[in-house]
Amino acid sequence: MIIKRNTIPWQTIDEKVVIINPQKNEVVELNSVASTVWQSIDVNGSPVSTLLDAVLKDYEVDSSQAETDINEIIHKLHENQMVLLEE
Amino acid sequence: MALNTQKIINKLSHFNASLTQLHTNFEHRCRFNFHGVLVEICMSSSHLKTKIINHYKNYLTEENVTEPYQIFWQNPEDFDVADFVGESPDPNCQFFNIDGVNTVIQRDFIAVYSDKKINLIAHQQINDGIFNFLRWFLPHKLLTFNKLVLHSSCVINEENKAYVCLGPSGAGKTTIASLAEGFRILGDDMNILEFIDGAPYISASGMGQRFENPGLYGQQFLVKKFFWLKQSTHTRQTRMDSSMQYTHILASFANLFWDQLSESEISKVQSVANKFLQTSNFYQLEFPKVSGVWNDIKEFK
Repeated sequence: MIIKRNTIPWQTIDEKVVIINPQKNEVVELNSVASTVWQSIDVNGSPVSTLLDAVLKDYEVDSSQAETDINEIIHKLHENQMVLLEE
Repeated sequence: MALNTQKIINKLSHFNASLTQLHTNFEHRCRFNFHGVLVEICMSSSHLKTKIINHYKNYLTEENVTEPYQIFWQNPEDFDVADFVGESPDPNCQFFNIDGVNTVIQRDFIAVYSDKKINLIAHQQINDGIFNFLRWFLPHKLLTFNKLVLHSSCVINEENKAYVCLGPSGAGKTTIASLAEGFRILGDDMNILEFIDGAPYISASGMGQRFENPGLYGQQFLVKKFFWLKQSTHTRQTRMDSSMQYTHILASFANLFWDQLSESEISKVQSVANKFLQTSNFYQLEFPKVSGVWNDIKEFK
């Protein structure tokens, strides 16, 4: 389960997500796929399958490639303390 | 933690119980209105008072406010930290709560603060100590007035319109300003942005920079264009997409320390950034470091 930290301010500008990361004192613009993933993560938690559905709906990409990309994005978001991971 | 910082904390810890009680006996005082933030600076030296009044004369005020921010400018020698102030290679602010006392330690100053009273420990000169203190202190307070400090250089043309140049360190902010023959340089590092009736205005911060122009302190200039700088072999102006504009402007708000801001303060910053997007005059500027480059830049629509 992926949980969006509710203390992270963010905004969607022209379909791209811009996040303020207070922990790192930086501003980050996500690319299109990462923006879709971020928008699909709930503060109460979302399973990877929900994120996969969202990406497959928006992009013409095969399922295994999408899953690889999503896992990489989640890893980066977690590394930057923007999301929490729960079993 | 840097060695200097640790040494400063050790030294200050001897004073902790009394640090917030220190400030009372300074007989030399002067009041300034820094862009709406009312500040009373209190010192023990008449010589220092003369110097600060001379430097910030455009911000001097007689306004009688019940509770201005009071800054008690202490001498580092009195705290046995004179050898450490101004010596660290790290210019970043670090925040500590030492036994319940809020403290910020930066290369050139130490501030111990509670609400409206601040003990500033910095060398008694008009240099990076007071400048960097104001760079930490003012941006947060200016938010109250919907004003933001932009990490930027800015030049003013003959029609009193401003070109504001943004970019990370090394992008060429000082360079582009110094190439602007026939323009007045408002500042090459920190300038203050605010929106009046939806239009962006810029003013000098007075927080110390290589190109200081105290004669322009206190004046506001309508911004003609904002540029995100990129050094190149040619001169070209290109429009950026909105998300990039938004990211760049947020990243250019200086010394906000996002983790020190409340939720409502962050919303306020986002709101200013959104107003900024509506101005539609933010471009990427590729430029070579050659004299005469502004002849091309002025021609861009």
